[in-house]
Amino acid sequence: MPGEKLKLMPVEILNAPVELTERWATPCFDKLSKLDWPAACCVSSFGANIGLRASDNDLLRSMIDRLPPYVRLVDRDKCDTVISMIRGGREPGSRTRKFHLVYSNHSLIGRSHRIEEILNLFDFQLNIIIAAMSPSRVFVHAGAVAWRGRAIVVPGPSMSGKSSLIKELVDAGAKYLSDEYAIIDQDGRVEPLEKPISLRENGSRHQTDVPLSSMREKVAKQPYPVGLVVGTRYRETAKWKPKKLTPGQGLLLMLSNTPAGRINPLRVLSSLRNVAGQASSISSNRGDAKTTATSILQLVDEMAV
Amino acid sequence: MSKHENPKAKDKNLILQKMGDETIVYDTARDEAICLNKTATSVWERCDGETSAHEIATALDDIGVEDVQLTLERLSRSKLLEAAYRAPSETFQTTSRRDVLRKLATASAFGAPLIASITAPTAAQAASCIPPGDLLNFCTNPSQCCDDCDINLNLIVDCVAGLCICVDL
Repeated sequence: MPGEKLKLMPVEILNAPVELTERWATPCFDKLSKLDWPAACCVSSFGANIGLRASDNDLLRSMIDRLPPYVRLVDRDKCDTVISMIRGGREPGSRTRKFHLVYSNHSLIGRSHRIEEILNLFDFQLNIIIAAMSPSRVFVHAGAVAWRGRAIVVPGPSMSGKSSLIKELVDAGAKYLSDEYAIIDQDGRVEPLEKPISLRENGSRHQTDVPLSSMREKVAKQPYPVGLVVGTRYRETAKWKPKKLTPGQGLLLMLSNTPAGRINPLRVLSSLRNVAGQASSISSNRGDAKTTATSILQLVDEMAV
Repeated sequence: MSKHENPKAKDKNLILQKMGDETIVYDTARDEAICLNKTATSVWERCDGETSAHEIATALDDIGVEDVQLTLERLSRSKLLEAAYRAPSETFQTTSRRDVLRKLATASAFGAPLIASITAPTAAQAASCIPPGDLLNFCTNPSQCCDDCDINLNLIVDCVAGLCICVDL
């Protein structure tokens, strides 16, 4: 649940072997499991159970320290997915410097001589897994704010200008729900996600976080039903000319940004149908984020009248 | 099989969701979602393999046989029919497909047959690009990979043997 605080447990007692549920286990994973894993634990977020294991206790502690507030430690040993990290570096007496490695199930996600880089990959992978595996929520890759008691959801891929638009919507008075995933609950409402807005500068992929503490009063504390779905993409010379979409087209817009779409299409479709059925959907390229944010809020005001 | 045999709607590996006049069809074999509007839905629902295009047009009061044939061609292109369908060559000799569409859009209560489709993304694609190490999505060049490696640390993402991974420069 969002807002639920991470309950830290001493790493030393989290040394039970972490296993994959049979559904996901593979022979390659079994081979990886034969390595020495002295530190392991299981975390849970929105119903997705993820095992973490490391080649030493300090490394697992570093992983746990980076868990976002919506992930908590749980006492179980069967997980849907396992993320494994192996510390590299130079061994005494050896001239070879080994890579630090990170795996998702049996897949090598990355290797590096810099542990910080590997931990960044761990963060990234953890969020994808939660979004794809959650049995109780549907995660749409989207920014979301609340305005006049309804959520405005802006689905879209990275670099499409979601976060800058969300920030302008918040500056214009809307309440912040999320800038990465719109988390849709079983009643079709969008839940707030405790994650700062990550803004890019000059189209770069590197992001700077705007901490939630700096916009305390502007952060939504409760879920909101969806009122508007906005398909938009930043184009320098574009003008905001929204076109109304049918509910079915609105559903497709959200589905094309839903990580669990292929994994559980029936559940995802029924959830998105509820959302698209209760909300209006529009789409347009946009230029300036501030002007677009004002227009979007005006549109919701007009719809409410 | 003749291209003009009575059309039969595909029914395997499909998940259907009705939304008012529209139908969302999800093809689990191709991971493709298709949105049919009222016209396309009405025609597709009558494709039972025994009803001809003429009979479908008769059943739907406000729609002509050429409209049905055009819709069937579109449904066929979206792989929603068991067999490929192409209207008889004489159908669009006097009236073009564009004219049929225009007439349907303006003069018919049904409207032009609209079929929108998307391919459902994998988990990684929904997060925009292929993250380093994703075994389900193969890259052919590094531009398809998420640039999540820290260039300040001399790390770049690369497409190695079809996989996106972070490597030292």
